Parts: sequence; C-alpha cells; structure tokens
Amino acid sequence: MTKRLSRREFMRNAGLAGTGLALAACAPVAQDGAMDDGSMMAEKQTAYIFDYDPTGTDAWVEADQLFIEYFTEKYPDYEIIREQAPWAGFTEKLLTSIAGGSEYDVIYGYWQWLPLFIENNVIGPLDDLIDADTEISADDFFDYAKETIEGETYGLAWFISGWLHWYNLSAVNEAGATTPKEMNENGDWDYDAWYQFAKEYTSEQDGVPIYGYEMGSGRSVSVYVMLAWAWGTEQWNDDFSASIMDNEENVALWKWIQQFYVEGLTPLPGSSTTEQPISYTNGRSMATMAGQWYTRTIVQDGAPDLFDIGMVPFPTGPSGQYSVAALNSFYFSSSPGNVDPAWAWYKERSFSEAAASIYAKIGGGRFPSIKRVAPATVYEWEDTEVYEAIRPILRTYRTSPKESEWINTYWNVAWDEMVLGTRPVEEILGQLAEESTALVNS
Amino acid sequence: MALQTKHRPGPLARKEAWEGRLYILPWLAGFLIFTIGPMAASIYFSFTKYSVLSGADWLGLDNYTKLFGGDRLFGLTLYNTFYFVILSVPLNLFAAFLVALLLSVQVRGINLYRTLYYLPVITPAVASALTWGMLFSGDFGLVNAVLQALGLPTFNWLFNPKITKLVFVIMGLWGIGGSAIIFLAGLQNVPRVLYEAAGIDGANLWHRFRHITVPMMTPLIFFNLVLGIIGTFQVFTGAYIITAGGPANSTLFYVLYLYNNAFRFFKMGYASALAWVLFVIILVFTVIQLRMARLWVFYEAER
Amino acid sequence: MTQTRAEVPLTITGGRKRSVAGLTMNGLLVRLALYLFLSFVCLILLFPNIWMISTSLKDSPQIFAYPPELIPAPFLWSNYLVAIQKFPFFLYLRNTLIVTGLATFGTVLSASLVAFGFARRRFPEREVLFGVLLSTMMLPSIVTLIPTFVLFTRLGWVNTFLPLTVPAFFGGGAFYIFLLRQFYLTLPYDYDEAAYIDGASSLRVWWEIILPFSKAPLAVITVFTVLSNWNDFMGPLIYMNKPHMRTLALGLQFFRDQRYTQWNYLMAASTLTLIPVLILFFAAQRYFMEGILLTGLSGR
Repeated sequence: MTKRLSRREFMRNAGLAGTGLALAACAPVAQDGAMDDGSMMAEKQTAYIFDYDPTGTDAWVEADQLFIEYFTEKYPDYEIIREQAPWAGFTEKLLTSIAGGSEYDVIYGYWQWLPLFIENNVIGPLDDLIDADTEISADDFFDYAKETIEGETYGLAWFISGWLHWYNLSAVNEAGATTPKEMNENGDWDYDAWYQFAKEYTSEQDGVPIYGYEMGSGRSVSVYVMLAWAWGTEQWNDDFSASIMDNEENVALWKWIQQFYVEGLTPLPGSSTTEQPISYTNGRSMATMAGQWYTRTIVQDGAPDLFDIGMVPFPTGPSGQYSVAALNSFYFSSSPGNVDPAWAWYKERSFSEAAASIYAKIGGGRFPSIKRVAPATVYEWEDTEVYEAIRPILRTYRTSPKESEWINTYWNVAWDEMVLGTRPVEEILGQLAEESTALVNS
Repeated sequence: MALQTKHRPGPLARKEAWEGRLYILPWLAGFLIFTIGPMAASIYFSFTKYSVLSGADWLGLDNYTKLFGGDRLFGLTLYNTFYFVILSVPLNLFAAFLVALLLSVQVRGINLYRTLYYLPVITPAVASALTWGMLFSGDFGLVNAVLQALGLPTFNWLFNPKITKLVFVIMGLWGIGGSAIIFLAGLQNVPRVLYEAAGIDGANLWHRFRHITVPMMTPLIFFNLVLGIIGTFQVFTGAYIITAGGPANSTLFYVLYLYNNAFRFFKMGYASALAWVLFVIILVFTVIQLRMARLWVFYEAER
Repeated sequence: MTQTRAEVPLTITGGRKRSVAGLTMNGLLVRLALYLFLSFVCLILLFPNIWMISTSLKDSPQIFAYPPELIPAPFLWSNYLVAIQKFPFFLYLRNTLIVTGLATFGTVLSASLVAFGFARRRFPEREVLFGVLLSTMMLPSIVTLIPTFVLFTRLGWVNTFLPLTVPAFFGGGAFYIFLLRQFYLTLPYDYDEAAYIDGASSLRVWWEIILPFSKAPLAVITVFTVLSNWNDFMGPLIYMNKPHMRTLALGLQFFRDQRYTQWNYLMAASTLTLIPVLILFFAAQRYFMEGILLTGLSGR
C-alpha cells in the first residue's frame, strides 16, 4: 500500500516537474545573440532585415532583384540577411520570430503597429542617425513622409502614394460635360460637384446598374480622414484622449456619404466582392477613389483598353483640399547589432535615387520621402500634373495607440450600420464616440 | 460475441495493461514533449498582458474579469458561434450521412462521383473563397439569378447581418466530403450477414436501415458529432477570408475575434484567456456527449 | 457472431440485385434517377472548382468582365506554364512531397498503434488519458503557435523539416487516433480472442488482424493526413526562413500582395497543387470500400 502511494506521488511530482520543464521550454527566448551564426563570417558586417516577399507582378520581383544587385555591388563588405514573409501571415511570421529570439536591424513596418513597436522597445527613433549622417539632413524630407510619434521619427517612407479620384474620361467626353479635372482647375471641384457627378453618371444598362461612384474604400479610416480633413475635422482630439466622431462635421460627412448608398449611386458592399466585377476598371462604376498604386490594378484589369483614364485630386471641402499620404516605411531596431550595414541598407532602400529609379518600374507615380526625387510614371495615360498637384496637399493620418483594435472592433461596425441605414447617423456616431473614448482610456 | 470479461484480475490483465500503456506511449511522449508545454504556456499567458514583442506582465485575473465583465464582443461572438454550431453541426452530419449512403451504392462510375464529391475539400480555401462572391453576390450572383428566374425574392447575401450566418451554414455544406468519406468507410464494416439475416426475416428497406445500418454506424456518427462540435466551435477560415467578421460583426465568430486579439491587436494574453474559456465550453459539450454516448453508441467490441 | 466472406457485386451488368449498406438498387429507372441526382448535387458542389479552372485559363481583363463569363476566350493554357515559372514550382513540390510523405507515414503508423492501445487494450488510466487526448483538440492553435515555435527554436529545429515531420511520429494528432479508435471499436472481437488463445502477441494481432481489417479507415486517414500537410500554410511559414525550403502552400501566396492578386496564375497554380492529392484520393478510394467484407480472413 505504501509502495503504491509513493509511486503515485512520484508520478505526480514527476508530472509536475515535467510540466514545469515543458513550460520553461516555451518561455520566450531572451534576445541575446540568438542570431550569432552570422559571426562565422567575421570579415563581413551583417545586417538582419525582416521584409515582405516581392510578390505580385514580375516588375516587383525584378526591381527587388536589381536592388539587391545594386546594393551588393556598392557595399561589398556588408552582408544582408533577409527573412521574408508573404503578405498573408506576415504578422504571424514576425511575431513568432521575435518570440523565438530573432533580432532584426530593420523591419518592414505597418503604421498600425508603430505605437506598439515603440512601446515594446522593438524599434527606435532615427533622428540621431539622420543627424550623424553627412549625406542627408532632416530637412531633405517631406514632413508628412515621416512616421513621427511625439516628435521622434521612426520611419522615412520609401514609397508615398497620394489618393485621388479616377474617372471614366470617355463617358464624360461622350456626355460633352466638363471633366472633374477641368472643374478642379476652375476651382469648382467640391463635394457637391462630386455628388452631382455620381448622380449624373449613375444609370442602368440592360437591367444592370452602372454606378456613378464606387465608395467602398471610404470604409478605410486612413481614407476617411482625408474627407474628414476637408470637412474640418478628424477622428480623435489632439492628444487621443477622446473620440470626436460625434461632432457636427463628422455627422454631416457621414450623412453625405450615406446618401450615396441610399440613393444607389454606389454599389452596396456584398453586391460584389473585392475580387469581383463591379469596379471602375470594367466600366461598371464611372469613378472611384484610390491611391497612385491603382495604376497597376488598372493595367492588370485591362481598363485602358475599355475607356480613357481620367485623374483628379480629391475635391475641396469646407476647410480645404487634402490628399492622404499612404506611407510604406521600414523601421529601425532600438538596439541594432551592426549599425553601419543596417543604416546603409535603410538609406539605400528607403530614399536613394538609385532605389527610387529601380522601384519606379512597379508603377504608380510614387516617390520616396526625400524631396529631390520626383514622382515616376510608367504608363502614358498617367497624369503627372495630377501627381504634382497632389504632392503639396498630402497629409499623414494620425494614429492613436489603439488604432488597429479601434478599427476592427468599432469603426467597421459603425460604418456597416451607416451603410445599412439601421439607425440614424447621430445615434451610430454617438455610440461610436462613446465606445472609442472608453477604448483609448482603457 | 466475446465473453464478458470485465475486471479480470491476474497476470494476464496486468500484461494487457502494460501493453496498452506501451501502445499509447508514442502519443503520450509526444504530448509531454510537444503539446503540454505550449498549452501550459498559454494558460500562463492568459493571466498576463503579453504583446509577444516583449515579455509577459502578470495581471492576475484581469483578462478573465474583463472578459466576463465588460467585453460586449465576448457575448456577441459567443452568440454568433452558438448560432452557427446549432445549425451547422446537425445539418452537416445529416447531409454527410446521406451523401455517404448515396456514394456507397455500387453502380458503374461511382468511383468518379466519390472523387468529385471530395474535390471541394481538397480545394485551397483561397480558390473557393473567390467563388462565393460569384454565387452569393447581390448584383450578379448565381443564387440570386436562380431565385429571380423562379420569381422569388433576392438578397444581398453577404451584406445582410440577418442572413450572413446562414450563408456560412450553407457554404459549410461544401465541406461535408470529409465526414462523408468517414461514413462511407464505416458502411463497409457493417456485416452483410446482418442484412441477409434481416432479409430472411422479411424486414423492409427502412427497417434494415433503421435497425442495422444506423446502430452499426453509431461509433462513427459519434465521432463525426464530437469532431463536428469541436471543429465548428472553432470556425474561422471562411469568416476570415470572405467577410472579415462583417457586416456589423454578424460573422465575427469567437475564434476570429480571438485571432484579431492575438495577431491584429497584439493582445496574446487576452487571446489566451479567450482560448481557455472556449476550451472549457467545448470540454463541457464533449463530456456531455461522452456521457450520452453510453445510451446510444453501440460498439461491437465492447466488453 | 460469425463472419462470412460476402460476395460483393461490383458493377451493374444485368438485373442482378445489388445490396450494399442494406439498400437494394433495382431497375433502370431507379438507377437513372440515382445518376441524375448524383450529377445534380455534383454540379453544385463542383461550382467552385469549375470556376477555379475557368479563371485559371482566362486573361486578366476577362476575369473582371461583366457579366461574368464562364468559358475562357481564348483558352490560355500558357497560364499554367507562366504560373510554374513564377516561383520554383518543382523545388517547392519536392519539399512538399518530403514533408507530406514523412508526416503521413509517421501519422498512419503511430496513430494506428496508439489507437490500438486505446481501443483494444484495457488499462486503468485509459479513459482519463483518452480524455486528455481529446482535450488537445479543444484549444485553438492560435494561442499555442508562439510557445510551440519557441520550443522548436530551443530544440534548434527551426529551418529544418523536423518541426513539420517529427511530431507526426508521436501519434500524429488526436483526430487520427480518435478516428481509428472508433473504427477499431467496431471490429468484432472474436478473432483477436482466438488469436490470443493461440498464443499470439498483441503486436501480431495488430499486424495480422486489426490492420488488414482496417484498410478503409487507414486509407481515410492517409488521405486526411496528406491533405492537411499538403495544404498546411502556417507550419512552413513560421519554421522555414530559407526560400528554398518553402512548400507549395507558401508558393501560392506568391501571386498575391497587399492590394493585388493575379487570379489567373493563382488559380492555375492552385489547380496544379490540387491534382496530386486528387490522384491519390482516386487511387485510395478502392480501399474505402474495402471493409471486412472484402478482406475476409485469409490465412487463418
């Protein structure tokens, strides 16, 4: 009897100890030289980069290849080790790697992550590196192209894309009407003109609706703020302590947007999916909003063969005209292993003229954060005047520390309710503001 | 049938016991090496604030009190998930059994049909997701086209919070190939001699089905039911790819919310708390089923 | 209960009575109705695949044409050629075959042993341990992803195929063990009893009685294991850092980025990825229908 008991006890203790061991084995790996296999090649200085896969078009893959060749040739003493992940699964890959003890000198960033990356000391400010660098100074960059939090710069965008309207120029010419671009030049391109445009060009063809305007992207907060700025407001107060989504301007703007859905000027979500054909590019909506990156989509879908492409900046609202700067930046480690190769890579990749010309082939009139590089065009129908017109009216979306959770949990739902028209806009926004304020203060 | 030999003492039984332990050892070792640690770690994380970017900070019960106390979405996602489970599990079980019966009939070309019925299960999710728009989209979807032709009302299937969950239940039917194959394999183990005996007794088709096929299939019906519940409570992929939880959170299922917390909001601690609450819920349902199984599951080898 | 070797009619050749699963199929009309019904359901189930293949043969503008067009014009068979040249298809195929092959072998072998222990051997801890086994399926894997990765990092297995294959040899997962256990429990007990009385070891009973009786469930779990490893995205994603170690499921991601998807190439590559599993299924399915009835008990 005693023997049995003791054996059971032994088993239990062994089990507990085993579990403890197993648990300890799963504790995050301390970040101390977990990547020291690089030291084998002592002569070369190594930088570790976490990047996304160059996927999608051939142009993208080629550009990436060319850039690596360019860099290797220019810096024979530096070795770059890149870990890459496809867009789907990017976060999973990054988080598991970091938990496993990987340290990256440069990480491809995403603006929604920025506050968290800083809070957890994963990335650090670039200001000292910029100051110490003899080739560049802080003034060389557009202010809006810097990802800045509390006065410190954490990212210098390698690509900036401004937002604009794309319209069916053929249809406007057929109607013999003034084009939005002409209206813009005459100072008549405002939110009423936008609405009238949508109304004018909404029609029906063989029982199938042709929409005047495709509003879908408005659900994206980073696009919405562009409208909100034009209407004289945004989504948070100055210090992110409260939501101002229920103020007069936001309510008026939401009502203005809602009429597009109520009056059938824009397709309802679910009437098509992102992969499916109700879009500007197949002529089923006469205009849409998108960043400059949209040129690739337009070409892929074959739109230039169907109609002429028209481009115009966003209209002027009660408080002025804006375009939102869509930033793609890399972030820099708070404790880089090898500063020199990492900074060399950061600089070259983010804002060297060489990189700009290499990556220009991807298309989209984008330009890096550095002022001296002009927007690049690839297709003949791209309107450089519009690109140049957008450049001075760009602004950066201010990110609250809980932006990702806010968008996914509250914003999207409120937007859906507005589109569905289940409740008055005042009520929806009242609740949104209340819950948002509670969230940022939690 | 074998003799009732319960509680047989003696060296034979002890040998059998040790053999039993030996046979399950690969699993037990794997469980201790690869599984228990991560599970224990996630329990620990559920009591912490853990962004994964740096270490976990102890919070005590905060995650759980927030979950039960103030998180409106916890209740909503549970509601969405239960709604889905209650409709989807019985429907899939029934449909899979029916399909298995159909596919078990020996006619020429049936092999091809079996393969084709399984094809949707093999198809990569991203490929089938593309098609759901084609079927269910409001303006040009095939489903609406058919309804219109029949003079029935049409819907904006994927953007109507009242019916999106039903659309997911319907979409789930495309995946019954897996359960059907299990049933199909099981149907072959129903001893023919039973049917023949019944045939002599003059039992009709329904009687044979009801009194022979179904009882003999209960172990696998039980398997598909248990697995169906475990799997359906964790429904994720479709909502993740097609609706991202919308519209108006109507397809925000529990695990999708959990995923958002873990990999979108970087709240792995809270996600772990959510996971363990779900664990307990599924556990309760499974235990109930295991208990009830004694009443209706018939094992040939029971002794 | 006694078991007889049944004569199983395999094809319809005349007016002979067909009796499978207790259902009798008589007459031309019944068969015709059956075919019609099977084909109708089939058409609905196959809609996604039909559309997938159609998309894989289109050029980009046609994918987005309105109204949607089912028949590609022209048929761009070259999409398939382009798709496999956009990423190292055959290298990824090789990697996928290695991982899937090893993991499947490990799973089928170890799961059938473990299930044998749970179904046909009695020991005091059996029910409790079986409960533990089931419980491993109840925790969403999202929250064990990070600690599991850390564990394999500590073992030094990252950047090898080990994390994707070695665990398969430890039972291969609760699903397969549970499934096989359920099958084993439906097998009659007389034969093992007789074998034990003859002095056979339990390992021999497993090999000579249980396994031959279980061709159908073994074929089923083979197909399931192959499928889950073949399409596994998360495992290769997090454990493989080197591009040359990626698998096909990762390769499919090559056609998508943040805003942009090359649908035709993606669908072409998906179709190619699907074909090996389809062939395997077609080949394995003759075993699905092979219960005890066909196997009988030869050699005893």
